[in-house]
Amino acid sequence: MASPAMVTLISSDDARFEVTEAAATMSQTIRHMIEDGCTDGGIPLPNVPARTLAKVLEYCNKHAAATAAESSAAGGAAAGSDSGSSSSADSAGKDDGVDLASFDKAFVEVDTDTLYDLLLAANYLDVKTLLDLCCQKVADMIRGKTPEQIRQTFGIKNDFSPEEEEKIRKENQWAFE
Amino acid sequence: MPDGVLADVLGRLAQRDLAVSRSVCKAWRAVVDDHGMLRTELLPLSLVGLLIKYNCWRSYAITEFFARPSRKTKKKGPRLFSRPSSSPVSGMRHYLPEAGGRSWGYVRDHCHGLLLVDGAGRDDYHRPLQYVLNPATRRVNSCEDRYLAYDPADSPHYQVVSVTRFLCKRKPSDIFYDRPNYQLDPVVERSEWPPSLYTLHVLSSRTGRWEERSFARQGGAAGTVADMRHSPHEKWNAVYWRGALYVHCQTDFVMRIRVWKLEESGCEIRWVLRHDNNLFELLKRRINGGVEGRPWILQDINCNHHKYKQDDDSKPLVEERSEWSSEASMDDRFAWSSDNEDEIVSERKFFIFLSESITTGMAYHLNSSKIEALRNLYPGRYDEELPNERFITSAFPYTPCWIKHIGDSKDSIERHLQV
Repeated sequence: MASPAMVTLISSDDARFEVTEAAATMSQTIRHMIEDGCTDGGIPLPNVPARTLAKVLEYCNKHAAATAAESSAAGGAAAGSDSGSSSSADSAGKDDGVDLASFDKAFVEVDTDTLYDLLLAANYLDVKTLLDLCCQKVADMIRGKTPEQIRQTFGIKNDFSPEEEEKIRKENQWAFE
Repeated sequence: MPDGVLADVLGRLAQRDLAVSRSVCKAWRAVVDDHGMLRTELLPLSLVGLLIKYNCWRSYAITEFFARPSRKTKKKGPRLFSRPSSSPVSGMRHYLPEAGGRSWGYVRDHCHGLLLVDGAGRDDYHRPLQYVLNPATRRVNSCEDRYLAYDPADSPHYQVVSVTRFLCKRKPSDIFYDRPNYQLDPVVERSEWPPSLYTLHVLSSRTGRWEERSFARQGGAAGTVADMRHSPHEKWNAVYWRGALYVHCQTDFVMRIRVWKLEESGCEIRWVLRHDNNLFELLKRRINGGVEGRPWILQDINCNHHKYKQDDDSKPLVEERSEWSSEASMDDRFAWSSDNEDEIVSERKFFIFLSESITTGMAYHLNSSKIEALRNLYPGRYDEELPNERFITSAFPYTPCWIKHIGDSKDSIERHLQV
């Protein structure tokens, strides 16, 4: 049995990561680079530092493995390079589904800086399910907070003058009652 | 953060959180505004009228609609209880369940544009028909009984909470006192109410199923089961606000049921007296006559109420009434309503709705402490239905909500398009 195809990814700070093609191609950006034949000597990812790339790959490895396990369980033989980037969590076996859901939940239990880096990386690398997961996490963190609490949580500077802020608040007074 | 990503994040928020996010910083405001995410015009923020329930001897009760007509009768905009065409349909029979004579009975509860309606079956008037209705979007869901918990600013889903009530015990002098069904268990009578673990039946529109949900009591009991018994004719209102249902109970305690888990800043609840005035003196001094501003008119939403009129083409008395402005000048959000003296208190521009006998409706404005006459409340078309003693049993504010929610599985907001 052939070992799975591997690719090398290079982070912005020149760290090299060797991963299966199945995991790497969960990123549409990387998939296109592979399709274009730009894999010789590794794929450079100048926007993603090693720390973040390691985290993204942890996610991709987990999900690609789950997809492979599911397709081999369902179809018998065809695991490997063809497992593709289609969403796996929905159709995975029940235990895998529960497992993946709890993995995802724990995966985004990180500090806001890491979450922000993940969000940018998921956006740049175009990993749809990871981007979804991060966006939902950020949205959950906004929910029910006041503007000041939101600014504190995400380190956002208030660039409104007090008059402007008062005016905006008045426009939607109902939301602050 | 790239705008596209920020838009993806903010697009997942409910309307209230979007409104809050708008005031975080300029970049966030721009994303919310550029994508048109905030749809305040769909939220039930303005009052268009009052739903008034009258007692009734032949059936059980009737709810009529009392409102101030739009200044411009041809104005486009939300219309209530009427077809967009000129055809003066009232009684709403064409889209109600078991549309017919009494499918529209009375409004049991109202919450942010959603009505809990009690009607009767088409073939059998004794068969109760209960459903949740949004008159603005004309969405209907069948359900049973009780209190609505709904705020489209937080979630497009609603919940119906069935709260346990105890009816009066019979005294030894009462008829049927000896029947075993009416004898009370002294252990139950002495037990605390509400219990430390209170199980309620809750219907969620997300799942469409009734489920049992347990609530742990905070604080002491309000009394015993024996204290909570009341007559079957008493109606106790509830109000839903920021994730919790406040239910007015016997012995005048208010039970707070947290039905949604929303973050709260500070858990301490304090009741504060916001307004203190002797209404009685004010009413005595009131000068009769003199309707200020445009008068309110009772709309004949029940003109197809009678069985024998089911198929005739009854028209409301004045056709123009079928169009109402969405921008009623009076007020906006309601925080509390109670049956006492038929009053309704709105929070932003507070007013209390009062009725002097069954004929004169009045608004007492809390900001200015002035009384405004709203004109005739008398439901003229129900001579055969209303008993000699005609009175109003309850009234609800109606604030149309244009967000489609009932039965929708995904949390999306769609513009209601008028056909």
